[in-house]
Amino acid sequence: MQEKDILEKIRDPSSKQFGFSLLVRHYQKPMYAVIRRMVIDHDDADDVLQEVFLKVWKGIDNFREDAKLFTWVYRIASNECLQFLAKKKRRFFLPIHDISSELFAKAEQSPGLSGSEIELKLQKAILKLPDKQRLVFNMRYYDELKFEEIASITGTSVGGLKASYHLAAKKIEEYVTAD
Amino acid sequence: MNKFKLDDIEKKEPFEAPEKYFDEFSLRMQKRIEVKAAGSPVWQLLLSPKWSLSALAIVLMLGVGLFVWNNNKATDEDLNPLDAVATADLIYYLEIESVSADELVQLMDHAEAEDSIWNDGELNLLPEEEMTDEELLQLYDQLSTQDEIL
Repeated sequence: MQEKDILEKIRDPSSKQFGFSLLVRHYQKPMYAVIRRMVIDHDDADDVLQEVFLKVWKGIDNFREDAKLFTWVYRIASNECLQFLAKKKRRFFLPIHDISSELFAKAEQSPGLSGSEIELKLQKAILKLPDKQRLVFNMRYYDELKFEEIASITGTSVGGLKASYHLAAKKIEEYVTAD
Repeated sequence: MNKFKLDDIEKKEPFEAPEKYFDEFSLRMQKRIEVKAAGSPVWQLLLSPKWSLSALAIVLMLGVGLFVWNNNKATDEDLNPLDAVATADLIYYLEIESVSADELVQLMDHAEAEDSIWNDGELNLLPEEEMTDEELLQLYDQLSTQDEIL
């Protein structure tokens, strides 16, 4: 189903809830993946995903279609992830090093994570990145978004994003090589 | 040492959701949205964790405030414990403890003693120069009688 069809259903008051249900079904898997890569724990990802769709529901009437629906939902998901991680750090007074260790410990216990040594090393290296850089890296590496799309999601310049991604990739490669 | 390159490994999603998670998730979301769309009554809002925790915090603060206030009140009373004891009981206590008037005066703070002599309601002493000879004799009699009691 196309974004346009989903939005049409949502715009019609008689089919708004049905349209929203279609939107959830359409985006739940990609948004879960985005969130899970950031928060690692499944239960946390579930909480954040629900918050994302609640925000989408609240804001859908004001969505003016200046951006693609996917971009708008992705932006909400990114913000929710960053807010969740910031709250977690504030709550436990954790510096970046400890939060990445905690996330990696959760990643290691995760049944979904491939057990291969190189996969684990890669995840460990990704978790060493600052949250915003990790978000950008995931968007480009896993979701293969264009830098222009990432720029419209994050509201940063394409040049800055390219530099950030290449720096992140270099750090990861060096970390995995040294580990 | 071979340098690791991201292109060297097969790219794949690192985490998987539990089985049937997405079927259940869309149903859960649908229910949450239906509740939202129906609007939540005020009592439901008040029973929400955010509101009930706030109410609990206010009740606890009031409880602690009352406890502290009552304790302070009790402390003020404790500062003058003799206020709660009748004068007759005090005299009786001093009698059985055999404390003489001189000892009592020595134990009292000088200013306090002076204050108690001039402001004591029962004796209502007047400065000597304003007394007649007769009144002065009566006062000496009264004081000597009290010394005997003590």
